[in-house]
Amino acid sequence: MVEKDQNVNEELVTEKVLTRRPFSIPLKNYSKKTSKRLGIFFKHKIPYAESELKSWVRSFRGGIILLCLFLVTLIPLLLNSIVYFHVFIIAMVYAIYAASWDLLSGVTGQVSFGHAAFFGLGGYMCAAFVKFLGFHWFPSIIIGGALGVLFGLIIAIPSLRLKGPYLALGSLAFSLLMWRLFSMESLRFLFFGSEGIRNVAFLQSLTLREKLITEFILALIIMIVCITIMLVVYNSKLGTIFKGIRDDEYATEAAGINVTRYKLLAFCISAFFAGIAGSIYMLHRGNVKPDIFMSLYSFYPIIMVVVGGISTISGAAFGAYFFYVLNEIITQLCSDFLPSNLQLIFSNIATLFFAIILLVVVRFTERGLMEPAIKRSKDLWDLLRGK
Amino acid sequence: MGVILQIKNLTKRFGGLTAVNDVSFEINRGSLVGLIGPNGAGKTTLFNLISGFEKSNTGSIMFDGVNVTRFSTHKRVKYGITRTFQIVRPLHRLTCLDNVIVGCMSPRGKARSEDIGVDKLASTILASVGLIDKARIPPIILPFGDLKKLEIARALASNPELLLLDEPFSGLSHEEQMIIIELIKQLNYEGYTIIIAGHVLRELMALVPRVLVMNQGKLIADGPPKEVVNIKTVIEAYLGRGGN
Amino acid sequence: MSIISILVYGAALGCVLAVLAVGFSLVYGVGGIINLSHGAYYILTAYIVFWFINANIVAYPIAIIIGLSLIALLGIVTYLALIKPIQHNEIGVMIVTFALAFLIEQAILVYEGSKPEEIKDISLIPFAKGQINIFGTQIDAQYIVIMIAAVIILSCLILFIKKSRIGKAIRAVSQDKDAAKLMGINVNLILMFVLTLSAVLAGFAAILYVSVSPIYPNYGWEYLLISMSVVLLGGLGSLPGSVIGAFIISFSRFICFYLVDIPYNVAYSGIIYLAVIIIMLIFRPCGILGKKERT
Repeated sequence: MVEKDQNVNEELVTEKVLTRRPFSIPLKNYSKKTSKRLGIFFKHKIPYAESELKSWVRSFRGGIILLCLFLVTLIPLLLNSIVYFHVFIIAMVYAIYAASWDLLSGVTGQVSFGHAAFFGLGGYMCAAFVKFLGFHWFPSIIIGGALGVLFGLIIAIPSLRLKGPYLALGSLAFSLLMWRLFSMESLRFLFFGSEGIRNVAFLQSLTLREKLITEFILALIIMIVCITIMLVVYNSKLGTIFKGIRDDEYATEAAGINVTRYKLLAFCISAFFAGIAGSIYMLHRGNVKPDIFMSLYSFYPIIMVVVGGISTISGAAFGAYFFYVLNEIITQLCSDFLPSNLQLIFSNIATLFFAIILLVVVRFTERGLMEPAIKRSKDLWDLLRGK
Repeated sequence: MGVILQIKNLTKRFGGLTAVNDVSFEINRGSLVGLIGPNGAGKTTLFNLISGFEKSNTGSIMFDGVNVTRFSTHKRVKYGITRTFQIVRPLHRLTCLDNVIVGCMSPRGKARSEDIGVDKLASTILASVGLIDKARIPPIILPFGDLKKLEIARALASNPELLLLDEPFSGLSHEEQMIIIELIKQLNYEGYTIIIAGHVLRELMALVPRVLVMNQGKLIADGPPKEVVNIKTVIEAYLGRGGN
Repeated sequence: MSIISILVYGAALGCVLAVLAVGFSLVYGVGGIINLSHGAYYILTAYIVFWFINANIVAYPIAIIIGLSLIALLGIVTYLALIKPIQHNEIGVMIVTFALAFLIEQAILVYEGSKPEEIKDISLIPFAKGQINIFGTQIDAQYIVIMIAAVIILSCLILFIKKSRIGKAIRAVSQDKDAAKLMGINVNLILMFVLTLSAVLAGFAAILYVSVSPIYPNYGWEYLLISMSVVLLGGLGSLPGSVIGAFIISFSRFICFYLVDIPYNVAYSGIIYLAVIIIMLIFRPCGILGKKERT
């Protein structure tokens, strides 16, 4: 023990009061009561959100996001064309899906190359509950998400309790396994076979236009809720822990965080929202087929997030809209202008093109395209305002 | 006071290499102990074993009466053992404040912050190591001395009993070293038990009342610095700069 | 069918998978790189060889050389253009190789046209004809050729790594990159070499096996995952383990095929390796021969 009359720097002593090890907290306070566990989620998250909300809205970034949200709500309603509703509904589905991937892979650093598994499982579970068990669609969406998480844990728990790129391997294997299992005719009784689940009734009593508008509004509301939740998590202390895990798993563990538990938490949130996105997708299309597990659907969130800005959540939504709308525009142009024999391979050319974009963006940028774009816009805005 | 850490016959082998060889010692609560030895003596491995980054082959670690030998790292932090890294590991994309907040989110850190809130606790810890003006800055652009301080701050955030500081002075200028030494003195004054693994002997020997010496995995000396430096085996082992 | 069939087919596939997986394991063991386009290298080589043969431009041996050279070139380009610039970013490397794999798959689909699932006419490859009688069962002689070729390739590889200077350098880099650098080894060159080598090995595996087994563009993921399962089984970074793992995977596939698939008319053998991945992750992620990871 250092003797008291040794030369102790006075400056450092000022804050002594609060940093002094006190009343040695007895270990029994660390019991794992559920309320204390949920405490991390609620205690720090909600107060933070309330006070930050106002300033966020006023910030440039918040303003841009809200503006875009306003536009994407308005455009289809104004144009009032069925095609636009259809496109924007699916874009919203991808926004939720991409944001969910970003939360796990970008923010927490656990890259998943088989996110389609949770997307598809959500769709299948929701379809099964709606069609075969007669549930109302709303709880079915939630159940779709929840069951996607449950089955996803089969691969998540073994992968995440290890430190290293195991989830990347495991998720890829899991999604391929899902694709195989759900395509197998021999397992039709359990996995519905290559036909999937068809004719899922959703808002059947409405006309096509009414149905689309309703779907659009529902998807919009669900998307706003989901992404808001993810943004709140991102900005909360929980998000800080996730980002710490991404930066250095070992250092975060050394700081006392149970890294495995938090990785699993990130996974559960991510898979849940991916499942919800899959459920909405299924409800919109009215059916779900095994091809939803193909690697293409795992590719989509990756390119959307990478372009939109990895580890930003809102960037995922931007990227999703950007890509999906771009995809649709190109498809439309091609079906208008290309001869029919080329159209068949068109979708492959488009995907090829997107793969090249992904390659280039990952190779040359750290933060995706949206972040620099927003920064440039902000600088311009400040310039215009005369700063 | 009493014994807080009891190491018995701790051994760690990596293939053919025995990094830590049958090491035993006791540390009293509130004491300040140095751990010295040439490069490769096994100091960092010993720290890894005590903090849970490696699991020992044989031997036991008793902390505060609890057998923590098989516990994972974060569980040991829950019981009060934390460590810093010789090569600093800041969470590079977070701010300094967030780095400390991560530590405050551990079970003990959270319990400690119940009355004043995590942000305030983290700020106070940053202030106590002298980094408060850098709270919103990411560690990437900080000088090395500040990164060492950040390591200590993050370790403090989880409200530990025992601090294992792995080479907290290495690579620092003389002034920066003095600052860290003052910090360590103050922490020990407040009651933290601290083990410092190090090389820079002059300052370390002046600082600690007791020193453990390792060489090639074995503990070869244990006592006050003035006695230890005169032991033949210690002199024979490579002592590094500034020996006597 | 007979035990002989299982043994021969299993051994042949095992040899092929060993060649394929060793490449993947090398890249991870030496460079810490997970090359998600490894499976794409496999199918690309196969398709290149097919395209040249189909177009009747060159003879088969030349087509092989062209195929392997092109894939080696792709390996070099992959390393220099894609991996090396972002090698500090592990996640980025995985995404970039994933994108490359996707790109290759789509490129093949574009070139192939509207029916991506055509079964390739494997009789175009003029390999060993006829059948051999082994202990009473008729086996295509091709399988024996495959095994012999694979054994030769693997032996050359082992000799190369053990005896040559580059091999020594490779081993040095795999143990400690920074120390190797300090010793004057050009680590980047070695990593590029290893990646190219793994691409060529994948190409060899493709050329060998495609003579007896059809190929589809989306098989790339299959072979990537098979490589991963073999390497997980054998332990990430352990070459002998990969060989053992390859045989475990291949034999389990064929045993399942004969014992389960045929009698019950199902297709489980195709997903056995996926179950292996999940089981290995749960129970023994360091693999059968691998070293235990640090906590």
